[in-house]
Amino acid sequence: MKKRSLALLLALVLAIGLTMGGCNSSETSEDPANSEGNESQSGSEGEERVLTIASPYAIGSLTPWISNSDGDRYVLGNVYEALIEANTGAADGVEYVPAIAESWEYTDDMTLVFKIRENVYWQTEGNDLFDEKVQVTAHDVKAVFDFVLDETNASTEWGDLNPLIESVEATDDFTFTVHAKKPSAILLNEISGVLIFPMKAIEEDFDLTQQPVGTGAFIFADYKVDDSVTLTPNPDYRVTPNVDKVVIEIVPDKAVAAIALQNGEVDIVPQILTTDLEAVASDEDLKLIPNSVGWYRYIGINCSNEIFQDLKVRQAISMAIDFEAITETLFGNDFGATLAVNSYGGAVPPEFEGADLEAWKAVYEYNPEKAQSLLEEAGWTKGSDGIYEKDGQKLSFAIKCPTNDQNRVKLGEMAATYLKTIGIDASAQPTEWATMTADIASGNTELFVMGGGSVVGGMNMLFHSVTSQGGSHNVFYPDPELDALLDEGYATIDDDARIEILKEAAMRALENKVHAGGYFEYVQIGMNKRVTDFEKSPTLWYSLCNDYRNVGVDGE
Amino acid sequence: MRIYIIRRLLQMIPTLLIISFMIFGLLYLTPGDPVFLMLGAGESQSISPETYEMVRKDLGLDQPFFVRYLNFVKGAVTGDLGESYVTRQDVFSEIMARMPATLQLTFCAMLISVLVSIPLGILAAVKHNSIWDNISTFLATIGVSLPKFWFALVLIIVFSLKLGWLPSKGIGYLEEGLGTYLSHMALPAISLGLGLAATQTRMIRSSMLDVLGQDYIRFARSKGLKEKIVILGHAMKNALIPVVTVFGSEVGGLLGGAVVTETIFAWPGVGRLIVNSIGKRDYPMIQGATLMLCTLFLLINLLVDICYAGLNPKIRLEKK
Repeated sequence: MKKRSLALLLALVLAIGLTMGGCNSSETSEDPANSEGNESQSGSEGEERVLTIASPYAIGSLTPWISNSDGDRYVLGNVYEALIEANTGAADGVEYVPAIAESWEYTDDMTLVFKIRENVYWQTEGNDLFDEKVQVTAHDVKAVFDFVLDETNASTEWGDLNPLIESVEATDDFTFTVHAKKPSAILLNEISGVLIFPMKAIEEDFDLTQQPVGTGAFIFADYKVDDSVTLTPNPDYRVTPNVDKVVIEIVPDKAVAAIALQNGEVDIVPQILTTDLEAVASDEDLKLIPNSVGWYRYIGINCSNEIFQDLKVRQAISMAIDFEAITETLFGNDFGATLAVNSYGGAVPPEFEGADLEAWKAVYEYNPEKAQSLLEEAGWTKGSDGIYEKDGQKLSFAIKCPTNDQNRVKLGEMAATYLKTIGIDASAQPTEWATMTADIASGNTELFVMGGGSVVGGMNMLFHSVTSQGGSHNVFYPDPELDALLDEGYATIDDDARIEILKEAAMRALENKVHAGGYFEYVQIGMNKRVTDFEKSPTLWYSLCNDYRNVGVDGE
Repeated sequence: MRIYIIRRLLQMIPTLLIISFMIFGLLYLTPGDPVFLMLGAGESQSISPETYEMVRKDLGLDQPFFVRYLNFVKGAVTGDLGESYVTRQDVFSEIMARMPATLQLTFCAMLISVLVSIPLGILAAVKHNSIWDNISTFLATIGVSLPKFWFALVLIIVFSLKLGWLPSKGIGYLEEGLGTYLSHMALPAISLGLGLAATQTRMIRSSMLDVLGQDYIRFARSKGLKEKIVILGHAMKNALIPVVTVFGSEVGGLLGGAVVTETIFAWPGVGRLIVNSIGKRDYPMIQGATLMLCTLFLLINLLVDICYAGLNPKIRLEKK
């Protein structure tokens, strides 16, 4: 009886395992890349070269005109191409490089002409949409731009492109022309975000979300829900990828991703937590590569709050916080990496136009005594409890900080401590991300720790009184002069002239202290040393194989 | 019994209606803007007011609360849980795509928990106040006290990073081989199963102690039955009756509540889906998944009650 029960139990275990084991897989991979296999598969010559990436982000939507997260983009960027790509690894900041377009030029300030390559084809493998090689022409590109510029298609690109583009045309089979609504220095950047997909899919009701089909170096081979995406080389692509397979594994816990990297289970981890940096740095098989752009993290001041409308109060807050010490405390290390630099009150990462770190450093001041004098000049006096007050109101506020980044929470906590020492009753308030973004947008904040704007045109997002309202940086600072400078700067095509105007805009924002201060964080990418060519453009946002880099894996 | 089951199934309807209203109401009151998050507005993306309004209308978020709620209930009754704001896919399909992974993990964790807790609980009760009892109590206390995420990370560091025996993350598929499947299952199942075993060991111990003090056990012993038969044949069956109820609740909880384990081990289950959906304020997904899990939970409870009646003739008689 007992033996029979045991046998039944074992049979049940096996039956459940067998019936459920493969259920998550949308497609059975012919040669599965399990983690144990990866090491051996790529270990020696002649064996499959598999590049494994641990992405912390879930796949949201693989629809090419709707991209919700970095996780989507890591996949889509390899399957699709844009006309051009922004190489953030360039020595002098962002540099645009050819993708589907081989060249481009402004024929005047309002007209941008792209020459389309004649050797770009829709992918034919792994899909039922194209049975044979079909060339991509300017007409295909025009159809995609018309699609995303149609508001009813709800493309995430619409909001960026609509204010800039009047119309597009295919002048001939391989010439695509963009007619701008106004001169714009960020037009190229916005165009680099538009992935070119086959309109045939829309016409034939083919589901690109389930089976992405583009022109990129990799074919979408398999998606195991919330687990991994497998990409294989596109034989029709103009460059032969240096890997036989790319596996993007979704590993939400960054600490576990770092362990998997040390364990040899994955090759690239796009963001190593500060607490894991030393372990990765000390591993002789691994290396750390700083992100090519410093990510701006700052303390924003909600200027719609009556207290903070007084410039002296904002100056005092900024001056009371030792951002140099905070940056050193959070990011100081013994392994010689520059993990972050003080922004000295400026908001533009050193890699972008408008940055002027030396000039900002010259005016940066940590001076608690002067901060107190400024508050007193503004009419605030210390009460019996040592806290400043005015008209019966205490100088008391919360600094909201997003819980998804412990460094930002610590920034908020340390800033609150500095403020308390001069008599400001500040406290850090860790807040869930979705709540935080909604609060910033609606103005339900006093001070807040945020990050972002580290993109081309970032100052518009951070400071422009109109365009900043649609993001998570709303400081409610209406400054017509700053708006005018930003409008003028981003509309100036001449590089030197534009940079000067943007520097002026950045300095104006700094002097008006709508941000108390912050730092530029160089997030570290953890990578196995066997990975080659990744550093040329250390990002997963764009394709791993294109004309300017071809990421590969070496054998032993 | 049939009438009892039908009555219980009918009772589920108002329960589910109340639950659906609570979920809907709580989400309505929760701060956070799904349109903002859906369009990726945040650190490096801003959206125009026109786009915002267009998408808000498209999602039906411009409609009054009760209209939206009634639409949700109408859809749910016909089996349509709506479309995810994020993936734009059918909510039911999205949940079902992750359910197998959750079920496998739940089953293996429960199996480990049963295999550990029953012998340990019985041993502790039979050897009451002995070194075995102390060891069992000590282990159970440690198991209950350890934070799940910490225990999971320790397992990963020891068995994956230091010893290199097991993979640190991800699910294994049977088509990749039984070895791969089991090696990926091992750490998450142990992490989850041992946590459950700790609670259950304590419960089995006290239930067993209670039963061992009963007259019929003394009678069985006085008849000269072997101790093994007394324990396994008479005492254990009765001691496990209350434990079945708790097992049922724990299975129900695990179906949506193994969030920490699923996140740390990159396990593609329902718990992780719900947490991601909450972070993105994907209302249809949260509502749909919660409603489905509540239904499952109620069904499991019903099943437990039926088993309970089956195990305990006294209850069957009382019902009559």
